Amino acid sequence: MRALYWNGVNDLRVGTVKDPEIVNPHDAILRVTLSTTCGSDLHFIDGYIPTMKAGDVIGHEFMGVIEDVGPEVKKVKKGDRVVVPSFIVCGQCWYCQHDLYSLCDNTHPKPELQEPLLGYPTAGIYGYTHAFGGYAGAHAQFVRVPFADNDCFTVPDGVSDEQALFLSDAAPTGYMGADFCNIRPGDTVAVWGCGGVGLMAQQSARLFGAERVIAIDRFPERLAMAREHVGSETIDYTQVDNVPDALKEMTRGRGPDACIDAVGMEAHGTGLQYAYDRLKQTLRLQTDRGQALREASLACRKGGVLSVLGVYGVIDKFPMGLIMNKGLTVRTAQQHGQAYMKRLLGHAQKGELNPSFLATHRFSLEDAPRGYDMFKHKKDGCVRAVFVP
Amino acid sequence: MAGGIMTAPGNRSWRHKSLSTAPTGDLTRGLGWFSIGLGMAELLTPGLVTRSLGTGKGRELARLYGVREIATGVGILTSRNPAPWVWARVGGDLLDIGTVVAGSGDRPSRKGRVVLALVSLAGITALDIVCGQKLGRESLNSGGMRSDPADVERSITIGRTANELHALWRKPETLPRVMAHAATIRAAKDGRLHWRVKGPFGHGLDWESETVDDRAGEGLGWRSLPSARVPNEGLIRFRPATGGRGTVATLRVRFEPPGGVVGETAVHLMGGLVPAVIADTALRRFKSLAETGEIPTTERQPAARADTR
Repeated sequence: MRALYWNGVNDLRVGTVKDPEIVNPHDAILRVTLSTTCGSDLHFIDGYIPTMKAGDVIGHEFMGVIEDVGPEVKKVKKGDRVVVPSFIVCGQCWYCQHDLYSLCDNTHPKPELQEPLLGYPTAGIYGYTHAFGGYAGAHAQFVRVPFADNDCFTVPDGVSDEQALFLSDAAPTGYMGADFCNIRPGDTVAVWGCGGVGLMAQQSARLFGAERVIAIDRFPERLAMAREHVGSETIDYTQVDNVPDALKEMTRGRGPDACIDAVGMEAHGTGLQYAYDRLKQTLRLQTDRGQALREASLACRKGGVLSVLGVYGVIDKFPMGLIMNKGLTVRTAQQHGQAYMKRLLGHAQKGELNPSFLATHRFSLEDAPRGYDMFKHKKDGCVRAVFVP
Repeated sequence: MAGGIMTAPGNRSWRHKSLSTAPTGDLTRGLGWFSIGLGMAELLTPGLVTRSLGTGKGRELARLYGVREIATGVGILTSRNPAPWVWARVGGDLLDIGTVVAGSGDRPSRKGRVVLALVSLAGITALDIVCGQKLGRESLNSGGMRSDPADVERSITIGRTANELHALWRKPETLPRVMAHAATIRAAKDGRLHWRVKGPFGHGLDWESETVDDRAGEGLGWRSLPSARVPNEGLIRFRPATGGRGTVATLRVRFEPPGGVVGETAVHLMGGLVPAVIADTALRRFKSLAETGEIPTTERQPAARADTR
């Protein structure tokens, strides 16, 4: 089959690889209908997250049609149109039973690579470094889905392929981030980042009942999307002196009740702090540039919630004193998509959540390297590049 | 695995060995205080010390030795690992003996005192050596990875009952699957298992094992037959976990170093197989098999390279 693979830092290629096969009894083989880029891919493409191997098939946000199932698969069957969350989960362990799916105990084939870093291994992910399991990714014609009964969600009629595609990662991640905020009527939620996850977090905050959602980014077309598709108020951080000040004024001196970081380790910013972070990251003195996270901590109201969806490695200058003295609640996780999928499909079916506007650009799989390039450099207003195998 | 602290009845866990509970602790502490006492005497009343040896000379040297005694004493009493300090005492003892012999001269009036001093020094030296050796053995047997790589015990919590786990571990196909990272195991005759690992320099190392200590719902183990080059055994035990979280499975894996060699050599003879890794990985794989019926893998997957895992 044809697949997109990582050949080295900033070197993606399309090539012919063997087809995946049923290996374990709960496996299914999916014929991929659509797959999409994710900002978190850029971290290993840029070489900031290690444990990629040349030849790894990448991609973890996808949907498709079941082509084949293993002998123990009972609920889904060949021909089902399904969406698959990025984390592979067993559905049986203590973590899965407590809806902490991305922490599943039983889907990481190489925990020895991750345990020294995290203490305990996470669930495995498709196409996202060997430290996260080393599973082949989904930017391909076919992908093997372990534990298909727990990880394949049938897409109901009335929900398009494109809508369903983003229920694989961007939507559940954003939805979980809004869920973390414990939103009450009248609340204001500020969201750093208007990429796929940030926009989904904004839309989800509305679904959870936030009165005001304020989006922070620097790209006019993304800020326009936040206003037009989600109804957010927006701050272009290159046009204000100071984002926390701007938020304080917009919230009449109170501060947002919750702040969501949907940016992560490769934050852009302005001024000295950004130059400092950028230099240290370039020199590999730190893996992360954390300006969005620091800003969110400062801007949040006292006793508010800091919901972190951005991906981080090892960050310097984490403002713990600020978080402690203001009594902030920090909530964070990789997406527990399986916990939200039923509700998300319901929202999509009722038209309350329509992520398809994220799909700004479409490419054949053969053109995927070009798609990633446009996505990374946000050329032509690219929010998400979608691949059709 | 002597020297283990019990954290709860029947629940042994990893621990720092505390001197106060170690059997050699009293002797070690005694030697520490003895060092300090003798050192103080040498430092404060050097004349008394030298006179007792039958000579009035060498007061400065006695003071210097006093400082040495106090330093080793403090080291023994305050260090988490007192063994090197005890061995430093042995060195000091030899120095003392040498000094007394060199300074004895041949005046018969002093002979009695010198002999008495040498006998006392020899006694102290013997005590120091015994203590040093005991401390060395204890750290080998304490069960921590740091001290003996050839003997480890690891635990994992599995969301199944002890009876279910016991039945699963007993299945002939289970051990070959959960140990696949370490060895190729197949059934041999009389219910035995045949093991093969890659030995040093790529040579295969083969042995057979038998099942031992098979107790329903409690645990069981394997033990290599006497013909094995590196005798080895593993014992898994099952106990209920707290809070309704299933069962704690504890696996002890031990290589018996052949002919008095240390643990590192046994690990080397087994082709670099480390019991800690064998145990950790086997437990994790066993947990996945018990909870989900399969072991996560990237075998036979697509990738644009030769070894696609």
